[in-house]
Amino acid sequence: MRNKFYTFVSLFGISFTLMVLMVVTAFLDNELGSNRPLSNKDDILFLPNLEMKRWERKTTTTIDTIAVGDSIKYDTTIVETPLVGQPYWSSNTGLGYTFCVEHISTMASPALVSIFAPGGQIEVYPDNERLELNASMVDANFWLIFDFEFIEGHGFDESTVDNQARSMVMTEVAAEQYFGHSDSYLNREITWGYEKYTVVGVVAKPNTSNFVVSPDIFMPISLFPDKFKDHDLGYFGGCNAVILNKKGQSENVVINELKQIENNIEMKDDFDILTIHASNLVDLYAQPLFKSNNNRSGQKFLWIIFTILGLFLLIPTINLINLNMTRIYERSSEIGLRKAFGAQSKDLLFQFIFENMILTFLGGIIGFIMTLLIINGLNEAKIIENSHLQFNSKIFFTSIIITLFFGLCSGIIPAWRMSKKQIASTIKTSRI
Amino acid sequence: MIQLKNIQKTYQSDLVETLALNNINLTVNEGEFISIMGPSGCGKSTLLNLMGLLDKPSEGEVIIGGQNLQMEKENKIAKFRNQHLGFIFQSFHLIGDLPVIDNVELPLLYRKTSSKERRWRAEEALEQVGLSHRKNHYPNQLSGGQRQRVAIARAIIGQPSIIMADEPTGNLDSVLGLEVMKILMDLNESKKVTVVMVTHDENMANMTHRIIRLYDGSLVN
Repeated sequence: MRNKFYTFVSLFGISFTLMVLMVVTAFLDNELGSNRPLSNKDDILFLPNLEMKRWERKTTTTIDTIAVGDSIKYDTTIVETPLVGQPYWSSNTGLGYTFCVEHISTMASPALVSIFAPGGQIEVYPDNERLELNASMVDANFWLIFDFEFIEGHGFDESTVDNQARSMVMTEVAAEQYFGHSDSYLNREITWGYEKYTVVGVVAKPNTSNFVVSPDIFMPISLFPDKFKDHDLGYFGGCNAVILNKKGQSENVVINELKQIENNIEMKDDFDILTIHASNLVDLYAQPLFKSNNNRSGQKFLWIIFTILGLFLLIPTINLINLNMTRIYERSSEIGLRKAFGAQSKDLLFQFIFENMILTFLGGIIGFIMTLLIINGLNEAKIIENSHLQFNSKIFFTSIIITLFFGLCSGIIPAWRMSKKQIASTIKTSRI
Repeated sequence: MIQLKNIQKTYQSDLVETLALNNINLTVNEGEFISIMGPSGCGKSTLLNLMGLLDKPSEGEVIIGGQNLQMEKENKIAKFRNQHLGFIFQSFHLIGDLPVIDNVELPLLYRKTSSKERRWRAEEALEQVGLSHRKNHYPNQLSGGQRQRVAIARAIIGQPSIIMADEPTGNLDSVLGLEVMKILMDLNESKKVTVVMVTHDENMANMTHRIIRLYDGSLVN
């Protein structure tokens, strides 16, 4: 606290850096953490699309000339050889419902498989006011794989789906938008088009922007029109699948079974090859950011994020070390004096680290308050669609670890160097 | 009490080696009050630093109370300084952020002493230098003479057997300087504390038992 300017700069640097780190940690935990309804995220594989390709063909025409009496007969043979690896054309889109039912739901390795049609915008008119909602069609397993927080009611069971019951699960936010504020929305009816749907469950809106779990309303997939379920080409359709892996089972077991499906499936519509793209939660998040077809770019994404975070922490730490060197150098006379009166290097090391930790801790508290303000601001401004950042105990714990790391790193090096200073020179060269 | 044997001290810079002290042999007896005099740059403070174990000689031995601590680890030397030596500097070297009483307590921070004991011993030390009424003031609220008395209180709180005083009256006028000298003489007489004082002032030096004169790093008879 000796030099107010240095103290201010230190506090500002610490609190600002920690604030950014805490906001990023909150964001990562929010989007990629094991939070409801994605508590099982480590065992979940998403199958958002499949790709089918037809290889280029090399055509060989053979004409045989055969003399039959006085005339000549031509025998033409055309042989087409596929040029493997050279796609003539390809298509990459959602999975057909039939494909999912026949090939994915019947897989042996997963614990559960869910088929769903991801969210699309629908329009409803409560009190003659237009309201756009994001709707997804899901099956019964969907509610077993994703542990939504049910405020009222429940998800769909097998019979609801099989009987094409006009049932609906909605988020509390969507229910309030449609019906207005109420203590209960259960069994109330919502009109979409000419049909009425009964609310059988109300869930808390997930905080993540993940497209699978973030829709406003969910309806049974059996209501999804057949023409959208399966396209007239290949195995394509308007569906996605989600696989819940068995606890403790390697993801590779599921991936290998998917590979077997790819290899054994009968090709149709002149396609030569089929690839089922499987992604985990992080891959799903990373893919649009990289704008690539690589469906397993999650690891790369995490590496980049953690490298940036590491650099972000490293640069101010080095700056703080320098700043602390200056601050402590200003106190070299005090160091000399304390040593003259019997302080050992470890006493001084402890003193300066302690002082730095206090400063860092103060910076941490300021950073924490700033983080709460920023998170609140980001949520209010709805900058990230469907995402609602929250500061929870996990983030708080991570922040404390970061703060300790920051305090130790930026304090220990200058303190150690200064504690080794020669007494006579420090006392001689300066005044307190 | 203090024995210097064939002391030599050189400072090495990039290209030049400077001889600060050359072949110093000196004995200071227990309970003695000596002053070291000489022109600026003759090596007085260097000699005092060596006697106070704040620096190490390039050659020779410094023996205090029969112990040669030169080869000992820094921690042991620090402990010895804390137990047996007190220091007074020309420019006081008080910590500006701490009140007077905390400044005085400083040497006891590095001993196993309770905060309560530290406090009453600091008050007692301030009483001895006549500044107990200023214990909660900060150094910048005191005059030069008062600051030096605080520095003396800090030097004596640990009840050292030797006090090293580097021009303790150098920044004070003659009246205040005399006050400080009286305190040091009183400590020497009543508590039998050995005092080694560097000074430029012939009058102050004449008040001590013995004057050691240095010239160009060597003792002058």
